[in-house]
Amino acid sequence: MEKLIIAGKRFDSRLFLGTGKFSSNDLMQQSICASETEMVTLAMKRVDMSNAEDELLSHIAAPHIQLLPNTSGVRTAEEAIFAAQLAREAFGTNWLKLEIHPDPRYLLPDSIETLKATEALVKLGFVVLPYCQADPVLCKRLEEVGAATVMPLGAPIGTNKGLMTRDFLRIIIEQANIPVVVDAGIGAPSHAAEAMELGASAVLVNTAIAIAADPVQMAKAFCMAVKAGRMAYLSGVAAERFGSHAVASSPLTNFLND
Amino acid sequence: MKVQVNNKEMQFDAPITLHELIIQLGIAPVGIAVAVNNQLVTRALWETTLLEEDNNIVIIKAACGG
Repeated sequence: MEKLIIAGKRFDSRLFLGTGKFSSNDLMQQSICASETEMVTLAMKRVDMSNAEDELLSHIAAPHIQLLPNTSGVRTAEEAIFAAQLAREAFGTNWLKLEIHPDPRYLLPDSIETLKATEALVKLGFVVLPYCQADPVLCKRLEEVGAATVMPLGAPIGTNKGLMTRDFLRIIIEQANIPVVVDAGIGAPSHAAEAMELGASAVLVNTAIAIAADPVQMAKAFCMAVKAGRMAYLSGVAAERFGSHAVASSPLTNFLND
Repeated sequence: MKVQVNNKEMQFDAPITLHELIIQLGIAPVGIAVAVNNQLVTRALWETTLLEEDNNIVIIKAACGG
């Protein structure tokens, strides 16, 4: 299948994986492998000087994996720029999942701060993948200031509700000249397949895989769903027919009576 | 001299660089970033950056996240 290209870099996989909420780093590592992902998000925390900790990076870093540090925890564009600089220094990459959600209850992204931060970070040389509202006007503005992708939400983070924003995602996909990655809310492989059938370039999944009873098998299921959805999109998904009447797919000739 | 390191107060009698602080804390120097008073201090400057009274030092590393 044709490759996904972001900021000139080619990806075979259209499934991005988050590393939160796994019950162990080993399960996370196996899930990364099973998902066939080439883009893995991670967050930042202060080093705990009183406890020796398992080194997360050693479970993620591989030559075919693009690390995508996020800015989770920041509330303003200014904080996001500081976090981005720390991430670039710590992980040696200028790729960034920009997420600015000041309200911990719904974790909805702040559109104004996200746009300001995207513009500033692009000027500082970052490859910016902003998590954003499924707002077609905002997505065009993010594209205009140099975002490498837009990552509109399907539903609030961690809710597993699927594509609640479906109609707006359609418009965003129709208008975009950069990849559209559906992020947040994808709770089942069928949701991921649906996003891909709509024409999304990729999906980002975390909770649905991490909290599954068998995360490794679920990662594989998502991998297959994303491939199936993409293949369906490229094949031309049949249009929905309005009205209640059936349309036969077999010839209704009266061969018994003719 | 008193400084804050990740919100913990630390006391030093002699001048100390960021590089020496990181060694003294036993922190592996890879996969981390260091800021002093909310300004990133790049790795190349650790050896020449002397800590000053009341510096607020933040040392971050990777964490799980989506």
